[in-house]
Amino acid sequence: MSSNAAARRSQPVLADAFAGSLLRDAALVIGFALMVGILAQVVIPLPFTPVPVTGQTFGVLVGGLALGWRRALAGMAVYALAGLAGVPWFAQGHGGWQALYLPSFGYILGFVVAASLLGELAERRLDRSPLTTLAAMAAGSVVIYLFGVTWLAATLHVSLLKGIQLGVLPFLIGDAIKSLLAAGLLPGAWRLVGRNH
Amino acid sequence: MRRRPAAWLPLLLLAFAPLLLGATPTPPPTPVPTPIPPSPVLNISPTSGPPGTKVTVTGSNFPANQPVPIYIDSPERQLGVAKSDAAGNLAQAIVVIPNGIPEGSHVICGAAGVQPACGQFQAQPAPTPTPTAVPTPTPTAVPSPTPTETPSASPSATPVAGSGSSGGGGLLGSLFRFPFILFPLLLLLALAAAIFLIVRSRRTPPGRLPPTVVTHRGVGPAGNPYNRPGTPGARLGGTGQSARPGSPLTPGSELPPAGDAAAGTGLETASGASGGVPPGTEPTDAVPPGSVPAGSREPGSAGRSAGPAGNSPVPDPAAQPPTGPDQADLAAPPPPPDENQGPGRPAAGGGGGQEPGGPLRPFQGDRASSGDIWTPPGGRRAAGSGYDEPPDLPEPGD
Repeated sequence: MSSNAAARRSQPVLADAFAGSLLRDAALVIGFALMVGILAQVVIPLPFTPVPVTGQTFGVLVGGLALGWRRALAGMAVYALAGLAGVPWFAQGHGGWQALYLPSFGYILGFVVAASLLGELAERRLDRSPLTTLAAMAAGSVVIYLFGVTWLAATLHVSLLKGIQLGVLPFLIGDAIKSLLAAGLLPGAWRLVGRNH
Repeated sequence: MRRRPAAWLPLLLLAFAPLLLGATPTPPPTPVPTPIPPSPVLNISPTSGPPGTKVTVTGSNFPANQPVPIYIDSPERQLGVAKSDAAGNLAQAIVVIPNGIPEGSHVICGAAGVQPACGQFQAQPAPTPTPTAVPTPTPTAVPSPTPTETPSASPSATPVAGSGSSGGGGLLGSLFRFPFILFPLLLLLALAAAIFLIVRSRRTPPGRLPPTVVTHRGVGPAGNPYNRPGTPGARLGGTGQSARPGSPLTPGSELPPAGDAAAGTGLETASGASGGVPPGTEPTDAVPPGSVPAGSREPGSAGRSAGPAGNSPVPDPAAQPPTGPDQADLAAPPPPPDENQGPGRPAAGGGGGQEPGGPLRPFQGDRASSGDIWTPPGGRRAAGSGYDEPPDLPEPGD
């Protein structure tokens, strides 16, 4: 009974539209981590805030929606663990165990949870229409900020309000743009793939 | 579903761990209750230089035994991590002014308290490689880089390595102190759970079979709803239907499930496991006699068995009246044992009691109980009326 309900609830995601098996899953997971690592190097520093704008958030959220929660969780775990192991693909070329001391490491933890959450939402077909995609992107951004600001405030020993000023407010407009972009991208991709899934 | 909590558990732990971390501002390292802790002080030397300058950072009044990230201008532009000792003093940490930093005033801060402690640093333009460009920059820029670098050169070359190895326990000690170690472990757990679930989702559950379309190969009249191909749970009852002896199927009874029905009972799956003979086709026309599996057709019947090939492996004699002499032979009591037949020889053995050149004798054993089917020697079978072709019998003396 419960498995039937789960099977009914778990819908295919965009990545399932392509034939393949475990090898495809492995490629998707590695590719997801690689894509986020590359997007992390796209840095736009803002003069009025210590946290720069990167392309990571967009890649994480869209990748989570496209891959489903299992592959998204695996991909982001690979990204975080490989970065901690020394791959310099965190933002601005950071990597290694010392990244745990970075005030921005909370964002990376948020990526893991947010990508999984959005993958789950995609398996509930929330990526099929622009409006639900917008809602999913907003939920994912909230999760990332929850982790990022908490970690930022804890490591810098500043108040949460100050952490929000440093790590949230400057990025809201950019997040809105990314969400709008994703709201057009994912339903459009579904139209290309076909809605028979 | 049962597997979801297993995967979400590390995520939940991951979610609450930073909150717990944030909820504990400075819990353990306060053995001396100082009401107002002195504000930390950070000293840097030198206070000016071009990009690439190694700056020595010292400090005091920091929380004891804490990693102190050193950054320039903003926490995101981290230069390294120093570590305070038990007295809260910051040992000499060397950071390098990054390339590309704009000329002008900057702050180098250490953030280990409520308010970060900072020191001013004046970035100067990078020295040009050509000596002719000396007059344009300020004359003080040329001598300052090299002399200040040499005295401050200490064994700790890179700031990150120096900070990481500072402290007795080093990297391992810091990993096990701060909840930092928790997060890589949780990430590992999450990765393992995700991989496990991906692999598991690729496997078909053992108790579930893929859906099959059951086609009933009956020869009943057209339009019989029970003989419609692909009707699951179709009932036997049309003309020419037969039931397997010993099976509970009787005309009008329900068919067994598809997995059972496909096993030689005249039902074929969509994958064509039992043949490809269209419904209603006389199978002897489509299947060569030599390829008909033993038991699919009853020998001795007048070319019209109760069902198509494969439909009735062992027809029930009681359910079908004898239609000819062969059938009458079937119903007749078995003859006395042949002298050619050994005492332990089963009566159903192919060719065991066959007389060379004599007429074929159908199987006369206990068919229903043995489940064996008579086949002529060599495996050839008569088509049509059953004995149109005399089988190849072994030569005498064989």
